[in-house]
Amino acid sequence: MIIAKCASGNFASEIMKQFLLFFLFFVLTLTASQAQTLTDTLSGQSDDVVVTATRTERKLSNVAVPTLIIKQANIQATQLRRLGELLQEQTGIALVNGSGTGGFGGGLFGSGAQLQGMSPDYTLVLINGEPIIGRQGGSINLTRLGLSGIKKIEIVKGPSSSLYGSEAMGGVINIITDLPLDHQLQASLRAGGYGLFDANLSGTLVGKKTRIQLGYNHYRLGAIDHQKLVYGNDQDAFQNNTVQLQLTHQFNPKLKLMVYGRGFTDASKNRYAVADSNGQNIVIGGNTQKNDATLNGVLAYRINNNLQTNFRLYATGYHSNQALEREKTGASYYYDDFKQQFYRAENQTDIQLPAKNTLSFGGGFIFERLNTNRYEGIRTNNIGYGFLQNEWRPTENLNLIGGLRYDANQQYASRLSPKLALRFSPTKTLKLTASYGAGFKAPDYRQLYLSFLNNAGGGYSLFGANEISTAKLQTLQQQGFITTILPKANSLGLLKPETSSGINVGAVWQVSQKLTGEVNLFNNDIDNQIVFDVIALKPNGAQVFSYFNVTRSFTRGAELNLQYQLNTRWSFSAGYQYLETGDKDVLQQLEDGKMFGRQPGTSQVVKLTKADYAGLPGRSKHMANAKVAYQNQGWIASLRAIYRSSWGTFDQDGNAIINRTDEMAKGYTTINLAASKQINQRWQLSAGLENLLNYTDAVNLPGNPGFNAFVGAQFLLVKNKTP
Amino acid sequence: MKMKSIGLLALVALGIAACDKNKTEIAVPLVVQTFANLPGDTTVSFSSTGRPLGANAYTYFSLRENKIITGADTLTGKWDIAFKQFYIKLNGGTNATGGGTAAAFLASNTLESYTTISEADTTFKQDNGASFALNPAPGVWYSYNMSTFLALPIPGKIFVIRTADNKYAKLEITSLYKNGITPDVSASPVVKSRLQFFYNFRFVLQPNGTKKF
Repeated sequence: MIIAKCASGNFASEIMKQFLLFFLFFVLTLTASQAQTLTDTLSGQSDDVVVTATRTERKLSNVAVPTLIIKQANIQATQLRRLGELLQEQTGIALVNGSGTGGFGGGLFGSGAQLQGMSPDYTLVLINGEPIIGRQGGSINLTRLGLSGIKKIEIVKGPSSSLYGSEAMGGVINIITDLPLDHQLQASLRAGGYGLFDANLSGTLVGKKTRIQLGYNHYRLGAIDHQKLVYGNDQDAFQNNTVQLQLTHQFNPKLKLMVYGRGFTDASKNRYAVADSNGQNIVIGGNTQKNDATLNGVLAYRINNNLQTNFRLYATGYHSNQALEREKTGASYYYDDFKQQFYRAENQTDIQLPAKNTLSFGGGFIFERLNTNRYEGIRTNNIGYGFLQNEWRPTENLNLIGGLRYDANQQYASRLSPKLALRFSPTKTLKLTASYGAGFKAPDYRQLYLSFLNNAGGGYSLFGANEISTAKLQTLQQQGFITTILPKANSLGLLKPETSSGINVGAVWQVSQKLTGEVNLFNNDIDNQIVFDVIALKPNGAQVFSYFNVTRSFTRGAELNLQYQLNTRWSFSAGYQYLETGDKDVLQQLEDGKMFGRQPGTSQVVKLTKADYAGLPGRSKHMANAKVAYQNQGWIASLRAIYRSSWGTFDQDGNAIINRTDEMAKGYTTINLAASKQINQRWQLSAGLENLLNYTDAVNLPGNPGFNAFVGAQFLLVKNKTP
Repeated sequence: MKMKSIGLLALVALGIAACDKNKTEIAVPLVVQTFANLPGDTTVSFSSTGRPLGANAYTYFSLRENKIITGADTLTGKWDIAFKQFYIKLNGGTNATGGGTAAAFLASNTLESYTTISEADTTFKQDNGASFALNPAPGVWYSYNMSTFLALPIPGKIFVIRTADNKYAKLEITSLYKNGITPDVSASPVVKSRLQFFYNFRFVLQPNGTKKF
């Protein structure tokens, strides 16, 4: 399955070095251990099982990487309906835009998940272990994902490309769907301010060997418009529909088939105004449509207690279309059509080896296809990969995991991603963890295939790395389209993936039956970040740009979590993340005294120091949350507060970094309240108040509604125990 | 359009007098001069596809006279530096239309703190065809934000200039927008284009031929 193809000799030798290192590690872990009988890998104090951390089922208390589980009951207590809303209430997760829309490096308000200060470009979002595609401006828009029919959400922070390949640089969010064990048919309705409407219908049939579920969700949110003076909405109204199908069939005790299907459509009407060349408003109107469809089959074959193999087939497609026209004349203003398909075949085999080792290995093949009016022709890519992971558990309180994955493909340089993780529990109530992981993100389609002429913004051209070369530039020069080829053009070539290496060191301490504390320190170094640079100049002075692996940055910080269960009714939790980020080259310039800024309101230039630098845009230094939950006699209620300190938006003084307060958005706090009551076997009523402080910031949080309230009801039509 | 006497650099002048022991020189206080809204090929129309178009013409400037040079004088040594969108040419090298000897390089400092040209004479570059001494690419002396469509001079970048008549000057671009006011980020690209390429700058000219300001 592995296609051996390397970008350069240096890269190949780097791979060899890394490979040897990890080969050595495997040999060590396999031989150093003594022969002992196998213990249950699922043993541990916690009942929570995690699959995302190792791609095998493990007790949360045995997992060696920072992992968060949001269970169905937690989701129910918040009464939230969309994934993004739920994630921003978790410690250290902010909703921001990807790099394609947030200026430099991602940053402004958006709906992608930022983990450990890493751009949402680097967050991999999975449903039942399979990736969601259709990134917009670099990030997966989380409003595409509803919260009905979910069993739990597992979030693994830090680079995890050794298991998941591209995009798992900042972390992995895995949505695991729920398939009830009983026959049931249930419906729910929700209505609230800002035109919120949410309806669900879901039915499950359970046979002796087969379970099948069909679910439907409709979600609608009205326009948000705090900037009344500006024509058009801050965020247009949208509505979406999701259909979900699940099926499992147990052929025999050893062989099981699981099928998951999803269909999604999202539509919004757009209307806004642009100024023409005389400064007059022209009204632009049109429609935006987004669809995705997914089919995923897993055949799990448990050969014996020590050997299991899974075959997975996955097909998914994403289609977005935006057509805008000038309302007065009907002339087309903007048209964009984007179709992406992703197919994958994969096998993973887990073996319980003697001497307390669990070896997982596998490989797969990915075929990607892209058809869009943004780039010429149909683009395809083939990716082959193989992975290997060994977990060694010499004793109950220690495990050591080593992993390695190699991804090879046609369109950009190949990548090897290692991982090493250690868990040690000196006592029953204390767990210490340390892990190192590598992550990578393949160059995106823009960076590879774009061929763009900007007419409005000065007539510059931007070419994807696979669309331009020095030879092509020379041809363009001979044809008179460009006048000067700049020295930077000499370094044009095959793009490397953006890479990261992350270190996490943490502890979980169960202080008492009631109190648990958790701390995790993290450091992520991001290299080879892809940015554009000027390669040539046109006769009119406009620039020609292309993409290069240039920028180096880091994110580091600490995460703290506390949970206190007062009694069966009341529980409290609080979380905090401290975060520092920065561009390493900017820091070097600051150190060398070569970075200057301009005082707001004057043209006074001042030399900047490291203290003036506010780090990468879109990152808040402090993020905190607190939650009080109550549960008694059918009542479930929660009061949640979320705080996010100020964050950088965009440069105002020409130095391309965030160094002034007017380059930052104000920090804010939101408070949400929700309650539900089980009236009887069939009925459950719910209500909630969101954004109690009515905090809005139309410029920096355009999709954030003000104070809002909702009411809802859930009705269980049928529920029977399995025959 | 023209303003004078913004600040006196008397201290700097004293410094010169103290250092040059061999020469007896009258310390003339140097003045920071400013010039506002020099039209560097501003947008006059838009192409059918909406691209802003200028007249594709340089505006010539004399540092000694602190004024725009026009007509036949642009073919003489009267001008030092000329502006056309992001292109800046000098009256020296292949682009010189007046046979001057102007040259320049870019230094990283504030205008006030840069008091002596200690760089070697070879640091000064003249224009050579499309290779400009003052590189018109973004990220060199100005930054161009592709999401806001705004061009901002990079603070701390100063042009160190040898004039057409072999004097030395230092110059800082303060804004590329009309009246030195950067358009609001939310303004349309069209509005931004119309306000762009109005050069606002400050400079100090040392008329005595020394490299100290």
